[in-house]
Formats: sequence, C-alpha cells, structure tokens
Amino acid sequence: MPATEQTLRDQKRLHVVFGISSVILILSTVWMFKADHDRQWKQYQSKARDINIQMSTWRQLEFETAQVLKSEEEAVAALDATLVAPPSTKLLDSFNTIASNPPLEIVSLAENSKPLGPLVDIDFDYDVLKAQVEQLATPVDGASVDDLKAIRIQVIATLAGVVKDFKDIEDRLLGELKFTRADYDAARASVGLGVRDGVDANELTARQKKVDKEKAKIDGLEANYQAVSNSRIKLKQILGDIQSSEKDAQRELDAVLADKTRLQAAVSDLHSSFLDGGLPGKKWLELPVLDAFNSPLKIENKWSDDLEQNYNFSMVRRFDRCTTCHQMMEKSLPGEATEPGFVSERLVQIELPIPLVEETANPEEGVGYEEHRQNLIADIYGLRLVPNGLMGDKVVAVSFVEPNKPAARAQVATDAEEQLADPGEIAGAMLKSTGSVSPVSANSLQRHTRHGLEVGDVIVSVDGNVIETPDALARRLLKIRPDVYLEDELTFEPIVPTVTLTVKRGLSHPFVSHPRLDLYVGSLSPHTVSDFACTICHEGQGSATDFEWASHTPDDPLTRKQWIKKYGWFDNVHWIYPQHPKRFIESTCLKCHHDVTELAPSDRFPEAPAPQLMKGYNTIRKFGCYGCHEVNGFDGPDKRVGPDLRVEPNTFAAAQQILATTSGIPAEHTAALDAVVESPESGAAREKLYALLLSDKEVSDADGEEASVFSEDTHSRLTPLFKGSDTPGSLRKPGPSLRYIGSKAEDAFLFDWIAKPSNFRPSSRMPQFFGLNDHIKREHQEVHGDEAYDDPAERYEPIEILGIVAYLNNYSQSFDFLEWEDGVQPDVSRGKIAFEERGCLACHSHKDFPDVEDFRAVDSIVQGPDLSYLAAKFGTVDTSENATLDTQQQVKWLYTWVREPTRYHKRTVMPNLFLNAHDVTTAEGEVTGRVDPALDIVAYLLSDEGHNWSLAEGNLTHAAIGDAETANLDGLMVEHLKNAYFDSVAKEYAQTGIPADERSVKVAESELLNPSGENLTVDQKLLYIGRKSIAKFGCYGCHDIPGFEDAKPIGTGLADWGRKDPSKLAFEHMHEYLHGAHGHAEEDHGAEGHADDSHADADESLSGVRQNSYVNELPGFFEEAILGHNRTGFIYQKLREPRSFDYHTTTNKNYNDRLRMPLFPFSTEDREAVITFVLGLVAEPPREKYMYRPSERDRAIQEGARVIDKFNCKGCHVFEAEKWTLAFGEGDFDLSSASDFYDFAESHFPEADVSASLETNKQSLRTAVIEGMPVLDDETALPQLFDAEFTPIKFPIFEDPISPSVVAFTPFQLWRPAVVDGVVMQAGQRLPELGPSQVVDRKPADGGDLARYLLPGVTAREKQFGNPQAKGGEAWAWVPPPLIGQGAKVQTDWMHDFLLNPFPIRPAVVLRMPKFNMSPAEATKLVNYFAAKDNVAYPYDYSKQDDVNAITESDDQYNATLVTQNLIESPIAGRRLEDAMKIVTNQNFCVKCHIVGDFVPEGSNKAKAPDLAVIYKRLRPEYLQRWIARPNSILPYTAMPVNIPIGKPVSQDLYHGSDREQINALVDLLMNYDLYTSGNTSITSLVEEQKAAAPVVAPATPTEAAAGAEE
Amino acid sequence: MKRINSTLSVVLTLMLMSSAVAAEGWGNLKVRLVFGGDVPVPAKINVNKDINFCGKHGLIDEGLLVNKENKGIANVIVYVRDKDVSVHPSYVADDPILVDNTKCRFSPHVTPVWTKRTLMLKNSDPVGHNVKVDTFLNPPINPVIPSGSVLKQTYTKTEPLPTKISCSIHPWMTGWLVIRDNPYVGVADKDGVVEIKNIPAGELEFQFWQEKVGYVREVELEGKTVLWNRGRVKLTIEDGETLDLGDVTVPAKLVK
Repeated sequence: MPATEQTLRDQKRLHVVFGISSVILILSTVWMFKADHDRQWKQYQSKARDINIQMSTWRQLEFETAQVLKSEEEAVAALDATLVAPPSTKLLDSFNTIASNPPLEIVSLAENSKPLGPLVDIDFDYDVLKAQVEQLATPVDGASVDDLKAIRIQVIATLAGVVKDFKDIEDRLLGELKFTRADYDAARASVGLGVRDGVDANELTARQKKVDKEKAKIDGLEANYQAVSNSRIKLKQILGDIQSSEKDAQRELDAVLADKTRLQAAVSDLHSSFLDGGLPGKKWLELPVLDAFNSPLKIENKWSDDLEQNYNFSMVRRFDRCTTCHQMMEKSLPGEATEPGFVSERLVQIELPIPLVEETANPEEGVGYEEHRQNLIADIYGLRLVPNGLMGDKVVAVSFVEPNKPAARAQVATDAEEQLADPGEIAGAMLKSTGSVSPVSANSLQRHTRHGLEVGDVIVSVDGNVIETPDALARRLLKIRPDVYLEDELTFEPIVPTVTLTVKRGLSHPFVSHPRLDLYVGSLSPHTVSDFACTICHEGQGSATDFEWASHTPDDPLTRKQWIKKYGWFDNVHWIYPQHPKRFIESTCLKCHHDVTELAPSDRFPEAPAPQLMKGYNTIRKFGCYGCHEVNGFDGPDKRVGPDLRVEPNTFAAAQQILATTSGIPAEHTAALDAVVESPESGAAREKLYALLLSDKEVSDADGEEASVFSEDTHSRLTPLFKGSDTPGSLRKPGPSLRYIGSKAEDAFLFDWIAKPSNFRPSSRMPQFFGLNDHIKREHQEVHGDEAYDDPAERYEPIEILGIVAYLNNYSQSFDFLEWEDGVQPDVSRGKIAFEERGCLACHSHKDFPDVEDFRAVDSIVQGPDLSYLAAKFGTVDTSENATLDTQQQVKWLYTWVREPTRYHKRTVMPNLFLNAHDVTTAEGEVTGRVDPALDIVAYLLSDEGHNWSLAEGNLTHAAIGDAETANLDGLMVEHLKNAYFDSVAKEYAQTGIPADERSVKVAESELLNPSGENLTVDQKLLYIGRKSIAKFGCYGCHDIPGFEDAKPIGTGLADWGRKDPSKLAFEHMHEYLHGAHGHAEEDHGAEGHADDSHADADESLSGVRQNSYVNELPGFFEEAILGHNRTGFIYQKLREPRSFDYHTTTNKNYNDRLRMPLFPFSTEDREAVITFVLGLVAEPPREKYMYRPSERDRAIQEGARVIDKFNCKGCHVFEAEKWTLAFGEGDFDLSSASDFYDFAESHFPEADVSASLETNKQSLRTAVIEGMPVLDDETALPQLFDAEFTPIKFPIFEDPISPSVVAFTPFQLWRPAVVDGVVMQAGQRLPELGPSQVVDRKPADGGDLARYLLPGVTAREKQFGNPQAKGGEAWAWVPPPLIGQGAKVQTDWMHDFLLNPFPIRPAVVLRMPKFNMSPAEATKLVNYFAAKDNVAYPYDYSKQDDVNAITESDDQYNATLVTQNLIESPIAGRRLEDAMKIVTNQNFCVKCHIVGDFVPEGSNKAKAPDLAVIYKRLRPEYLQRWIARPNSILPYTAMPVNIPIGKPVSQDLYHGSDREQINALVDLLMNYDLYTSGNTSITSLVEEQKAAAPVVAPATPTEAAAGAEE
Repeated sequence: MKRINSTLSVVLTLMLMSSAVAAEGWGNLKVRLVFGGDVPVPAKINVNKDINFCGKHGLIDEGLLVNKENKGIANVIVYVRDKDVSVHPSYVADDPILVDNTKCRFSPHVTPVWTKRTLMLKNSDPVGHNVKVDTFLNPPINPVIPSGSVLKQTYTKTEPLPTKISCSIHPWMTGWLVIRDNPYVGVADKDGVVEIKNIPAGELEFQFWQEKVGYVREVELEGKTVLWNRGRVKLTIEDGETLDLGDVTVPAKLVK
C-alpha cells in the first residue's frame, strides 16, 4: 500500500483531544494544588503559629513592667559602673612586676640563637597606664562616662596587648623549639649514619658535638618557653581578675534579658510575612502552589521508638502525625514544666478585688481618654487588655497581669457545694478520709481553678454584664471605686469588695496542651512524646492528617453530632483500632502496667495517675468477677495481658474433701492432708501428699479399689489438683466457704438469700441470679400476645434454689464448734463496746456505728459485710438468766467464727482477734469476774431486733412441695437429663434414677444412680437439681463447695477481651429490646429494671450503712455503643441487664441454655470503671523495654501494697499522714527551728530547699507541703479549732453564739520534717496558727480508718472509767499505731515473725494486733514494703558480733575513765552496761512506765509502756538512739518525756559521762539486753535496790540551786 | 485569713516589744468568785502509781474547788487582755517563778508566768516526775524532772489561752500556766478572792476563765444575770483606787 500523508487519526481531532486533556490536566493540577493548600492541618498549624506568636508577644509585656525595667536598668547600670571602674592597683602592680621582668633567659638566648626578631618587644609603659588608671579613679571635671569608658578600654587593651606580646614570644619560642628539635633529630641521625658508615672518630666526635649543641639549645629554649608561658598565664589570670566584675555584671544583664531574648527569638522564628526586612518573607512559601514544595507548614511525623502496630499481616513501626494538628501538645506554662500551657476551654468565675485608690488624675496631654483608662486599669489592677483573643476573635482578652496586683490575686469562686458550711464540717473533713467537705477550696492547684487572671483569659462579663470592648471593661471597673470600706465585725479588717468576672479560660481542640505533662508527653514525664508518640496510648490511625481519617471517637452523642456536622466524621469500621473515647482512655495503661497497683498515687505522682482504671480493678476484685471470668495475666506463654487475678489452687479444699469423705485414713496420710489444709501455699506439703495419692492410685490400679486408702473419686477428680503449677493463682475466692454451711444457716434463710441477696442485705456484693426473667414474660404477653404464657423460669427457679439448698445441706461437713468457758455470761452492752474497740469495724460496717463510714475512702473496699441485723439472719440470742446458750446453734456458730475464723473457713482473710476470755479486776487487782469478749460480741450482734425484716413471700420450702412443684421438679430433671440421654430415656431416668449398670455416668448424674430401680424420692431429685444448678450458675467460682473442688470457672476468660471482635459478640435482639422501651430507664425499667425498685424497697425495711446501689441508667453514649454493636455497649448492657440478651431468643432454646450472668448492684460509674479495665486487657504487649519494670524498691512497695490490700492493714493503721499544701503570706507564721536537738536526731534539708521555700508564687504567696495531723483536743480527741481570737470551737456545740463560719486556726503537728517559710521544722513541731484558707490542697490521711474513728471514743471511755484527766492528745497511743516510719524502726526478722505470730507490745492499746491467715511469703513482702518505703536496708543487716566487740571496747574506755578519775580502783568488766542499767532501773526514768523483763510498773495499762527486755529483737539501734534522745520527733503524739535533754545528762552517780555517752550506753544496753541479762535475770530486785537507795538528785547549777532555795 | 494572721503577728510583735510605758496612774482590782450552786465534792484521785508515796496525800481532783464555808471558787484566772499595758515598777522581772511537783501534784495548781520571768520546774518528791507543757505558740516541752532537781524554762510569747501542764507518769497530775507578757494575772485563792494590784488606770478588758467552766461567760452581779461575752468584761480602773466588784456568782450550769 503506497504511503500517504494520511495519519491514522484525524490530527484536528487529536488537537482538540490534546487541548481538552491539557485543560483537564491543568485544572486537575490546579485542583490538586488547591486541595493541598486547603488541607485541614495547614489551617490548624497556621492558627497554632498565630497563637504562639500572640502569646509570646503578650508575654513580652511582662518585661516592660516597672519592676522588670528597673532590674534591667539596674543591671545595665551595674555593668556601666564596672566599665568605668579603675582596676585594682594591687592587681596592676602584680601585672607590672611580671610584665616588666620577662624571664632573663630570653635575653641571653638571643645571642646564641637564630634571629627570632626582637625577643623582648613588649609595649608596656606602666607609668602611662597608672596615669590612665588615676584618671579613672579621680575623673577630671567634665569627663563623660564615655570618656571614662574609653580610658578603661585603653587600659584593658594595653594589658591585653602585653598578654598578646607574651603569647607572640611564646609562639615564636615554640616555633623555634620545633625547628631546633628537627635539627637535633637530624644531628642524631647523622651520628647514627656515621657509625653505620664507619666514619672516622673525629668526624663522629664533631657530629656528636653538634648533637650536644642542639640538645643544649633545646634545653634552653624549653626553659625559656616554659618561663614565658608561665608568665603569660599569670598575666592572663590577672587580666581576668581585673575584668571579672564587668564579666559578672554582663552575665547578670544577660540573665535579666534571657527570657525576653528567648521570647523575641521565638516570635522572630515563628513570624511569617511577605516582607521581612525588605526581603521576601516566608509567607510567600505558604501561597497556593508554592506551599506544595517547601512550605514552613509541614506534616510532623513522630516515629515512636520501636513501638509497633498490627497491620494484620505484619507488625509495622508506628509513626504518628497527630502533632501536625495538635501543635500545642507539649506546651507548658513558662517556668512550670509540667503545667499545660493551654487548657481546654472552660468558663470560670473570678472574684476581682476592688482596690481603694485616690481620685485619679486627668489624662496627660496627648493621651486620649480611652488610653488613659487603660493605663489606669494597668496601674490599679495590674491588668492590660486587648480587643482580640488568641484565636484572633473580637473579644476582650488579658494580655498582661502584673504580679501581686489585684488581677493576680483575684480568687476563683468555688462552686456552691464546695462552700464551707461550718467549723464542724471543716473539722470533720480534716479528720475524715472522705466527704465532699474539705477545708480547701477544692484543688485550687488545677488550672481551671487556679487563682488570679492569666494571660490569654477572655473576659466575657462583669457582674453578669456582657463586656465587648476593653474600654467598656475599663469604664465598668473604674466606676466601681468604693471610697468607704466595710470592716469585718470580728477582725476589724477592711472587707475588700469584689466584682465577679466571667472568664473563658483555655482553648478548644486541637490547640489544647496535653493534660498531666508530669505523666505524659512532657520531656520530664515517663512517657515522652519522642519515645512513645501518640497512638500507642490513644489508638486511632496515627498516619492520618484529616480529622475523619484519624479515627477520633466521640465521648458522647452530642460531640458525635457536632463532629458529623463540622468535620464530616464517620465511624470508620475499616480501621480496627479506633481511638479510645476520652472516658476509657485509661484502659490503655494496662498494656504496659500489668499489675495495675503501680498506678496508685505514689511519692513521685501523688495525683492518681489512672483513677478510673484503679476503680475498675478494685470493683472487679470487690465483686469477685474473677471467680467466674478468668483473668490470668497471659495470652499464650509469653504475652502478658493485665494482672493475674486467678484464684489460688483449691488444694486445701480438695484435702478437706478427702478427709471428710474417706474413712480409715492412716496417720501418715492424715498428717499429709492436714499439712496441705493448714499450709496450702507450702510446696513441700503439697508434693508429699501428691506422691502419697499417686502411690495409692497405683495400689488401686494394681489391686483394685478396695486395696487402696482413697476412693476412685479422689484419684480421678481430686488428685490432679495436687500436681501443682509453676505460677499458681494467688487470690482467694471472694465468697465465704460453704463447706460447713449446715452448721451456720437455716434452710429458709438460705433459700431467701440465694433467691435475692439484697432482700436481707442491701449492701451485699453477692449478685442476684434469680427473678431476672420478667422481660421474657412481657415479650410473650406484649409482643406475641400470649397472655397465658407460662415462663419456665418462674416454675423452675424455685426448684433450682431448693435444690441448691438441699445439696449444700446434704454435703455440708460436720463442724467442730468451739466452746466457751462454763459460767461466763454474755453481756450485750459490753459486747457493743468490744465490737467497736476490738477491731471489727476495721473491716465491717454496722448501723449502730455509722460514723466509721466517714473515715473510709469512698471507693475503699470494706473487707467484710455489714453486720447490722444479724439476728434477722440467725435468730435472736436468748441471754436471759435461764436460757441455755449451748442449745442455740446460731450462738455456737457465730462464737466459733468470731473466736477462730479459720476453723470454719481455712482460707478466710478474717483474722483471729484474740478475743480470749479474761478476768475482770478492780484497780486494786481483785478479781471480780470473768468475761468472754467473743461471747459478748455474739450476744450484741444477735441482740438486734430493730427491724421488720422477714423472708420474702412465696419462698418455696421443702414442706410445701405439692403436685405442681413435683411436676416442675420432674420437668427440670428432664431438662437436665436431656443433655446426657435421649428424651425418652431422660424421662424414665427422671423418675426411676439411673440403673447401676449404666456406663459412663457423669459426676452429676451419679447422684441419680439407683440400683433399687424404685422411683426417686424428692430429696434425691433435689440433690441432683442442686448439683446441676450449682454447676450451671458457677456458685463454686466464689464459694468453696464440697464436690466442686476441681470445677472450672464458667465465665468467658477475659484475656484479650479488649480486642474482642464485636462480630463475635452476640448482641442478639438488643436493638428490638431497647426500642421496645425496655432499655430506657427513664421510660420503663423493663424486666430487670425492677431490681432497682426492689433494692429501694429493701432499703426501707432493712438498711445497712454502706450501700451498693444498682442504677438502671442507660446513658446515650452506651445506647449508641449497643446499637452500633460496639464492645463497650455489649459489656455495659451485660452489666446493666445481663439477661436482656435473651430477648426474643428463649422460644427456640432450652431452659438451661438461657443466659446465666447474674445482676450485680452496679452504678453507671461502676460499669464504666469495669469496662475501662476490661478494655485494657489486650494481648499486644509493646516491646520489652516499654514494659513497666519497677526498681527493686518500687517492686517491694507494690507487692507489699497488694498484701496490705488483701489483709486490709489500712483498716486499722495510718500509713500516710495528712498532706497539706500551704500558700501563705510572708510573716503569716512566726516559726522558729527547734534548737534543742541532738545532731543525730535532727533532720536536715539542702540549702536550696530552704531558699526555695522563701520564693513566692504569682499571688506573692509562699508555699510549703507539710505532712502530719491536726492537733487533737485534750477533751474530745477531735482536732482543735479556734476562731480568730483563739476561742476554742467545740463542735457541734459552741460555747458562744459566734458566727460558725470563722474557723481561723487549726493547729497542725508535723509527723515528718518539712521546710516552711525558710525554717526547717522537725517532726513533732507545730504550726499553731494555720488557717484553713491557707490550705490550698489536702490529701487526707491514708489508712487508719478504725484508729482515727476510735480516738474520741477511747478518750471518752478512759475519762469515764479510768482517768478523768485523760488527754485526748495522747489517744493515738491507745489505738492501732500509725505505721509511718515503721521500716526504719524495726528489724526485718522480728517484724516477719511478729506478723505471723503477733503478741502484745504496748499495754495501753485497747485492742491486740490480730493473727492473720498470712503466709510467710506474704509476711516477707510486708516487711520489705516497710523497709523500701523508708529507704532502709532490708533484710536488716545488724551484726551482733560487731556490736559486742564495740561494746567491750567501750566498756574498757569507760573503766579507764573511772579509774583515771579515781572513781574505781581497777576496771570492772561490764561496768558500763551495769551503770546504764542504773538509769533504766532508777525511780526517775524508764521503769516509771516501762515493763522490763519480770518487772511490771504500777498503774493502769494506759500508763504502761512496752517491755524494754525484748526490744533488742525489735528495734534498729539508730532508731532507738533517736527515740531516747527526742521521742516526739518520731511519734509526735507520744507521752514519753525527754529523759536526757541535750546538755543535761542524768546524775553522774548513775552513769559517769556526758548526755550523748549516756544515750549511747542505754542503746548498747537495750540492744544487747539478752547478753546483759544472761547473768542478771531479776530486774525487780534491781528496781527495789534503787528504790531503797537515797533519791538521786541531778546536779543543779548554782543558779538553779539558789532559785530552788528561794522558792 | 492571711489578713488575720498578718494582723496577729504584728500584734504579737508589738506585744513582744512592749515595755513599761508610763501610765497616768495605778489602781487595783478585787473580785470574789462565788459558786452559784451546791458545793461540789471533789472526786478522790484513784492513785495507781507510786501508791506508797502518792497515795498517802489524799489527792483530789482540783478541777473545781469550792470553799464549803463561803462558796468561793479557787483557781479562777483573771487577766488583762489588752496589749502594751504599762507595768508598775513594783513588778520585778528578775524573780523566777516556781512550779513544784510536790506530793504528786503541781503546786501551785495555777501559775501566772510573766514572760520576763524565768519558770523553774522543780520536783520536791522522792519519785520521778515529768512536766508536759502543751503550749500553743511557744514550743511545747516534756522533760523528766528527776527527784530533787530543778529545770529552768523561759517563754517569749504570750499564750492566747491558759496552758495545761501534766505528768505522763502520774496521769492525774494536771496544772495550768498563764503565760502573758504582763504581770497582771490574778488567781483566785481558796476563798475565791482575786486581787490584781498596780494596774494602769483607765479602761481595760479583763478575761475570766476557770478550768471546768472555760470562759466565765455568764455571772450574777448584785442579783442580776450579766452576760460576759467570752468571759470578757471591760472595767475602768481609777488612779489610786481599788475597783472591788464584790461577789460575782458563777452559775453552776456553766460547769462542764
């Protein structure tokens, strides 16, 4: 085909296509650039930059205040002064001496050297210099500062020139030296070459001479060089000294200007404009198109350090771009590294004081009225305003606040409920752990409630009038100028009037800084943004730069709506890790903090780091969720998931079961079983038993069951339990043991309790299993129209409960009751006192003692149940004279339980309180009777009839089983048997039981084995139903039940539940349930909503003091979560209405397949807390290095804290005293250091701490943190309170009708040393004039609930029955002791043994330390806890032998002194301790109060002190030394006097030596008491000896003696 | 509260600085406190410590001692509340003040302590005592006073309330110190008579306080009930005169 010019396509058309596509390309490129330019993050970043510039610009105003300008001027003046100051003549003379006398060698060298140029060419004429200095010293008239400066510069230049000359010479000498060394090397080489080449001797000698010559030159040069260098260095030093003052002044000026310079630099860096100094500015780069290339606005990538996320198929290192928009995350307030710079927006009410000012002058010329008013505002209030806010909006914003002016001192108004009502409440709050009333204005350390206006605040209104311009505000403020002040009636102080400003503080997202910069993001925090970035905690799509793609999650429906409207937000289901909503954010802490307890407040982070997570963890432990739902701490062998909350191995129960069900057990086997029962944590006991059981099984296998000791059931079911595990669980079952339930409760009560625990005890933690099916019935009646629907639940549930009761009773094992002494009679009133004083209230509540609740933290777990109305449960005790207590089983049971809890429940945490019977004696020691406190307590608990409680109506009883019930029983039998057998067989077996020859009968069904073939009895059927029901509902998860020792928990394991795929959650017909009006509490409770009502009903009839309250609320957030099939919604509804998921599903499933989850008495907050915890259970541990790894001490503290929690040590003991943060004015306190301290007993602080305590904050107040307790009133043992005139305020009764709102002073005693107002205060010192308003933050005492509660009571009783003069201030000594400093006090071994076997130490205490059901390992953890807390060595490393050697040495020295001073003729071995013992046994000192071995001092127990004979085992010597020297600096409340005041030794007749020597001798004696007494066992004889001796008089000074004589 | 504190500290500073300012004249105050109820019988102390020695002195609770003969109340404390009062030259600052632990009680039971004087704490008993002084503004002390010895103690600040002293060894032992920066403190004798001499003339505020009553806030004067707010009353002392209030009856209902 011939070629043509015809193209394949029509060129014209192609041109058109090309043209169009070019246009499209251009347009799309333009669109792309535009879209890029319009990206959200660029706007945010640009805005953030504007905000920063604006803030920095405003902050520069701080450097324009008169004060700052003055200090700047002063610094400049100081510098100027140094620049004209004449140098010191002395220094100049020294300079001259060196400069005028250069080292001589230099001169002499010149002759023999290569020309070095003029070696000494120093341009220095001292006379000229002196003349110049003289001009500086006495300036001629008319000489300006600049002239003088010029002269000084000349002087300095001259001196510097001389130094430079010396340096030149030094350099030249060095150069010459290098050349000469080269010549020397060449000469040496020449000699070497000569030797090699065999040159003649002369030549060789000549060459050697040259070497020698060069060497001499080098030596000379080196000497010269060093001399010149030395001179130069000295000259330079002198010059430095001359210039030092000007350099210091320059540094001072630089420091003054540093912040200003920094802010200027920041503004300059951030500044972006089109023209910058006449050149094109950075702003050009932000224009469309250009900004696509090198814009100053950039996406920020935060690469986390080795943290990865799961992209389904691979793990990818995280990089987060969140800070691209969230620019302010790391911003902190200037000077406060952990205080967020920009808080989230909130309205604050601020009371601005109106100062009294003189009439203001008219504006100066050239100043407009508006400007004049602004100047006045600045002068009077210290406030500058601008007409635009940080966001660039037209508002009245604060641009400057001058310190110590009204604007800085303005107070944030407290909320109404935080107002202090009266002193009684204040005092109560000081004493209590809880309650909304606090002496402080509610955490005024938080930014939103921080006093004073701040730069950036937007003033919205003044006294309710909206303000639109700065001038309007100025006019209004200037108008309110009172010229007459009111006076306070009481103090006659002027009352300062105020106006209320409504202020908008903070910014909206994304311009908010991260909260808690001490914990997160901040450079000082443990989670810096550079290492962790963002999504490891927040989740979400970190690589996204648009709002909707970052998978933000709204925290409530309103936010959700706003986001949809504003950002087009949607729920991106394809991103499987959406951000946690704010309410659950703490769940993420669990990823690395597996043990949770480390998230409790600590010394480093006193504000709770994760309160919601802790609450969830505590709620789960409190309600025993772990009993059914395993939380084992692991997902697979190496993936940690949250804490290990497994129940401990059930070996003790299995051993008990074997013992109870086996007859004729040989002694060895019995001993092995008993050992496991008593010490289940002992691996050796368990292994021994396991070996015995295995060998027995071998016998059984070989010779048949009859030949073996144990049964087949033991071998197959129980033996494996003893195999053991490397990491056994450690938690005890949350419920009580039911092994001996037959000895405890009646059937009727048991039925009622199981059916609905809240009927008897509204505060019970036991959930409700039954009666939760009303919604099913309503479904059938209302939805299906089946009015006659007969719900199987209604028919079967009573049978199930009756079956459980029957089973428990039938298998209840025989119980060996404790018996009381014959003739001891119980007494209710005595029992009430014993109940209060002997420790019960540390763990239990009772309606008769509601005040104890005030001392418990709101969320604290109260270990034991509320014991009100026990008579309703057990039946009233008959204590009448003729009644026989022995026949009243409830008395026997309760008595046994109270006396010896482990007899009933081997693993109970209830301790043995040592409530032993004892004699009652008169003051003279006459025995008047015998009491048994345990029996008294039982009588008291069972005496209560103040209730109208009764069993619920309609409870089924065994006797009431009729035809209908029998039919239901049979029906239920079939329901169960159907699971194992065909229907027809099941029906048959339900009647006749299972034939003996039936094979593979399961454990439960073996209950029905019936060889006789006769029809089963009702009892047999009930036993079967009972066993099946217990298994079905998992009762054994919480309780020890015979026959269920090996049963596994029935609930879903919770490991990795936080990641559970929502598609695997059976939401069933929840949508229909909620939309059928069942889910809305406010409309209709639905079936289970009635639980709420029924609780309320119960409350009316029988109220305890500590309630758990079920709340049926369904907040919008969770409703949306349920409807959106979110896992949080699933859990919420599961916890709110667990059986509601059965809605519309029961028709097609068996009765036994219905849901079984019980209903817990949770509030909405409880559920949210539980969800927070469960969401944190994710099997995605970050890399090992991110796992929380505590230090050894931190670990000891955390492990100890868990033991403390387990045994509720804080129920009795104070672990931390009150911690108050004070803010006060200079001179508020008139404090002085204690001066009479031995150096070893005194605490010291670094000088920096002392000076820091004198610094003031923005309100010009000094701050301090003090730890201690309010001083107790001697009358009441409640905190002392005074009004402004020191009138004691006795609450609740006031002596005078004074205004109740004036508590002016609250004396406070330090329990730990502190620096306050520049004064080092020792423990024991007081701040007598502390006003509640000076307390800006308060952390209540930690622990000691019972101790603090008991203080007033024991004081009153001591006054009533013991000593009318008893002092409340000393009452701390009569209650469980505070354990502050316990680690530094005691020896670790002693404490370990004491915890396991406690014995009485202090006779004055009203109760004894109980014996806990604690393992040695747990005791060790506690011991380590205390030592770690006090940062002392553990285990205790005291060397007895070293001490003994030292004592022998000291004894020798003591003897030598006595001999030297002719007090004895020759040394007497052991004399030193003998003499120390004289102090102990002297009638003036120790034995007045202390028991010492066999000696017991007279008097009541309240005045007796611990036995000194045994403290060598207990105390650490350093502690003992401090204790003797200054007791109240260790225990501020102690009545122990100072026996050896500083400088006042006791009589030399007792011990010859100084005060310190006497203290040391006492320490040595008491710490070696065992050795000392090996020869002297009777102290009584020594005391008597001393008594018989003439009274020892301390040597009085002449003045004292004279004074005494005069008087 | 800062305001209040500042004021107080200023006041205290002034009080410390106060010196004998010349007054225009001097007068005396005399008053007898009478119990307005049945004479209470003081409880016997249950002596359970050092019984051999302390038990033989027939110790009684000295909280409220009323004279059987004339119903006079002992140990009522009356002092001048005003600050910066002039001090008459007859008051000698050098004299030490003695509180003796004798016969297992503090003698005297109530002791005025002028801050210019030194307090001597003595133990005349053959048994050991300690003296726990719970001062409010001054540092509290608790030294052992061995048998037969004396301990010196000085105070610099006026205490806003009477200060309790006690002995931890013998829990019944209680006494009071009235630590003031002037000597105008009177303590009622066994007949209830209080006399303060050489008081600067003019109107002064007097404080009445008793251990078991607290502030004597209500009295009967010449048959009429008079309320003394917080136990305080302003009285005018005339130059050269003795202001004798006569019998002032303290109603029994005030006793706690």
